[in-house]
Amino acid sequence: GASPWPMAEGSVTGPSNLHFNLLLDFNISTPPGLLTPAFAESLLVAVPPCQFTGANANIRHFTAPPCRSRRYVLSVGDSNDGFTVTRLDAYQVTGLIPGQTYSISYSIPNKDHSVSSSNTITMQTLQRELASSCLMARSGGMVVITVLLSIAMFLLLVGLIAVLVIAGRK
Amino acid sequence: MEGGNFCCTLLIACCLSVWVTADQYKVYPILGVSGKDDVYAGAWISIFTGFSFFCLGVFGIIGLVSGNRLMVLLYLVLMLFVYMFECASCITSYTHRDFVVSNPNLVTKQMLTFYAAPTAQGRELTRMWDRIMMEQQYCGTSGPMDWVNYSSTFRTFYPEVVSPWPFLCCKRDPNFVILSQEGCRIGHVDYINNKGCFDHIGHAVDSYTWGVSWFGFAILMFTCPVMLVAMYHYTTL
Repeated sequence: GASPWPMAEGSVTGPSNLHFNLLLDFNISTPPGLLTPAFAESLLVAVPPCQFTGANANIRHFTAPPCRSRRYVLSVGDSNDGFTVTRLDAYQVTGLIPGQTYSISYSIPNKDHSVSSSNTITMQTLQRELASSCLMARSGGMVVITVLLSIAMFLLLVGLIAVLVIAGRK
Repeated sequence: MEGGNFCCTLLIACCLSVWVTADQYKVYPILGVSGKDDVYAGAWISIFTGFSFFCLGVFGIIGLVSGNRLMVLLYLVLMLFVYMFECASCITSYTHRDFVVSNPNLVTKQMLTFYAAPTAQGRELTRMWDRIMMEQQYCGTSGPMDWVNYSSTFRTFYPEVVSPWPFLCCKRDPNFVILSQEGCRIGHVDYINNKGCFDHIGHAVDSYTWGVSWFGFAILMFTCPVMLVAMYHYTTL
């Protein structure tokens, strides 16, 4: 049957197409508390604000136009003693290419058949590099040890030779 | 008196080197897999040189007290020989420490190459990293982003969507149960350990190097005038 909750569409386009939405009803925020919203092959986007989903903060439905990338709705929370504290609701767009820039926007059909749309944000997936081992640093301690020990060795060698010569003459 | 102090110092050096060889921090695989383990080689050498210095110290005291020229000459030559070895041990130990832990690059590259690799070295290194990450509650070398920013052997086995980093990076409760697998997977700061292991590993290798290198250096600086005085005594015999 028809769902009592409004259906939301998320759309993601590649760098060549940008959505121009003249009426911006809400802005997409950064999901809070993450190490990084951008990985090499996926991006994390905050879900639209609660006014679009009713009394509780759960997103019920996402339908998406056919697209190569796959999406997950994430809900991360603690369950303690029957209370569920939701820390994060986000949308993970996967199947992306490392080092690419993507533009993201929401357009949500409302109950009164109007469409609410968000701003367009651009996010870049991380470039996956090869780990390089840079030149090691030489520390001062090594230079000090090497120089002083070389001098000491030299002194002792010279001393021993001198002693042998002196003792030989006696 | 001087000889007595000398012998005690050398026994302490011997014990310190035994401590380094015992490797209580258990970071040997990092050095072993890199193909050179000079910090530990330095420790082994200084065990033997420390003990040799001790024996020669006793021998030298007997020689000087009895006034036997041959004994004192033998003492001086053998001391010089052992001195050379101890010098070598200090220098190579410190140089290798610089090579491994002066910056995180070598350790990071090694971790990304060998972690989760099915080879014998890979298994050994994986065990070591797993233990450090779990015990110290750290992740990666500089942090979990090491696994995402760079390509790795781990990445070839586990796609980024499934597991961007090893799940040993996740915060766990006292029973070692992961608090939230989903939260850890997406990198939520409440569910993942953000700090890297490099400080811990650097501290371990540095402690070993300070013990072998600097203490050995101090002993050699002290031994040099002692030997010069012994040489002077030889000329008066």
